Amino acid sequence: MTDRRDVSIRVPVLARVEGEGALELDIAGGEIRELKLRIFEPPRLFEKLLEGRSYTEVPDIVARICGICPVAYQMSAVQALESLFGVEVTPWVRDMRRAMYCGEWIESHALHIHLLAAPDYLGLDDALAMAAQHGEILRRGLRLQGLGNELIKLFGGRSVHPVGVRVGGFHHAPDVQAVRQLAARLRAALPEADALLAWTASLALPEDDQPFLSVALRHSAEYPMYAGRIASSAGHDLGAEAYEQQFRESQVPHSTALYSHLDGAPYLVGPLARLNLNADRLPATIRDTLPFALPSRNLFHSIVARAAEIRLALEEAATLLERYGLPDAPAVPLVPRAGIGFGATEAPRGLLWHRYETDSAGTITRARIVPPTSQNQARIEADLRNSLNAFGLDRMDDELRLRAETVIRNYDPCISCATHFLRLEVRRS
Amino acid sequence: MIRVLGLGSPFGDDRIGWAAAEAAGRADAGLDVRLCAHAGEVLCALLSPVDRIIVVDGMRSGAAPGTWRRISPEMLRAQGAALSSHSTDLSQALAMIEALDAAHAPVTVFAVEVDKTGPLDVMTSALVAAVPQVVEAILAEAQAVISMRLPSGSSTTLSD
Repeated sequence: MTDRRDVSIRVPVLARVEGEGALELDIAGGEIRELKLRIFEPPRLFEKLLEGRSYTEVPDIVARICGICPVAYQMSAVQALESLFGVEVTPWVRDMRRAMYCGEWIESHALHIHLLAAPDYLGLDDALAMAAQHGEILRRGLRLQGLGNELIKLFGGRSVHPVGVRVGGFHHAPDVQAVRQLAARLRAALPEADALLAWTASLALPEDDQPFLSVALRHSAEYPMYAGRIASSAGHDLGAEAYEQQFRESQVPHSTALYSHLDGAPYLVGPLARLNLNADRLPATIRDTLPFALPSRNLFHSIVARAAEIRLALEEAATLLERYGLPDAPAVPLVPRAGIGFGATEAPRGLLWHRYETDSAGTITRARIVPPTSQNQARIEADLRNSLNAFGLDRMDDELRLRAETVIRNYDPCISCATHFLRLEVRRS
Repeated sequence: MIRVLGLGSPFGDDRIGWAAAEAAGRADAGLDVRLCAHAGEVLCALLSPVDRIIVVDGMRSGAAPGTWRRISPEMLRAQGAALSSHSTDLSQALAMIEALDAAHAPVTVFAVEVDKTGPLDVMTSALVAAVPQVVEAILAEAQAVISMRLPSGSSTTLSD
């Protein structure tokens, strides 16, 4: 018999991929003298790994970057490569990619709301306490998350690191009967999404008014997810190819993460930024349910924004699947060529930008991926300064730590698991 | 229904849970195979009703890579970590189920000692060699569950 203490069952890979977080806070004379959020940003490994690989391998490789949002990585990648090869996908492919992407939004947002964020606003230590005290809410969240997983599996073959997406379309078209059944279940779950939105709207969220720059895609007709131009609350309107001219990544000594700035300023990506820039693309039924006006200046509204996007994604996916029919072909043919291509889509956590260079055979010679977590890092640090000052720096260390963790978790960074164990060093003088 | 739950990721030896679960599914189509990469999926898989859940996961216990053992959930020791959406800590997921006061099927865990689990690693030969053994153990476990369910004098196989 094995000693219980000697048996450790862990799946540390995603935690390793996501890295660790630590916060150092120096307070002197009642002011924050230094605030450093240290994290490890891993996708650069994948960029190197992609070099020398065929374009056909890219969707499956980038799906491994994140266990929570593999579809987002696939979608930005195939868009970049399709633009590079001059391929226009069919309306069927576009619709089904959006449906699949809806699944990822539902799954990722449901996870974050119920396992990570909600305990902060309910005065609970963790999701375990939430399970004990708000069991039915958690069950509802898991049911919604399960539907998201099934949507991903429908098109991706499996919900973890799906493999159904290819450059030009999909490898297979799902069976009509399976699509119809899932569409009916998605439609039937809309009241649960309505209830979730109403519940998040009823939470006593901290008041924290602060100015910030929002960045998100904007589309001429739809709420941004799979397509659109890069927009900002400062009036930017850019194609994906112009990203590098306006956005700058830089290294800071205290972190392996790259910090992103837009014209020299930190900026927000993610659900609240999307909402702020796309209020007119929200269905009125959702917009009218929000307990705040848009644009919002309170980052803590993000949990409501996520619930609103779950509601939106659920109905959109149901509608797209109800119109489903088998296509003549699930993908369009293509001929690789040398060039540079760009792709930008809205991952659950925000703008996800890809750039690829290929040779004439379609072999990747260079890749660059800018994930939303990297883009939000500078904004998180700015937010921490604002929020902790507003909260009161003379508070007890434990109170400061909890508020700092709440601020960080609110962004749903891919270091979420690490920030649960945030080490806060407060030095006062 | 007997559900085989593979926990892990695509990275190196951490793929063992997926590899063994998928191989078990190929060996017997009667098994309901689910692959999980994060806590939410584990919770969903535990909550939906089945007769028995067989989990395959990687472990680090200091044993030689590829060493596997059958353990009960009671033997799982909480790691002192809060449940995260980015991890698949089984003991935490089971604690959540209990906190939800939700019934779940009996759980058996096959844990396989892992070595390299980095993003660029492939599964090491010791782990590859362990897969058929673990699959055989899974099938035997499933068959035992079915045998216990059957009235005396009857017989069946997993695929029946």
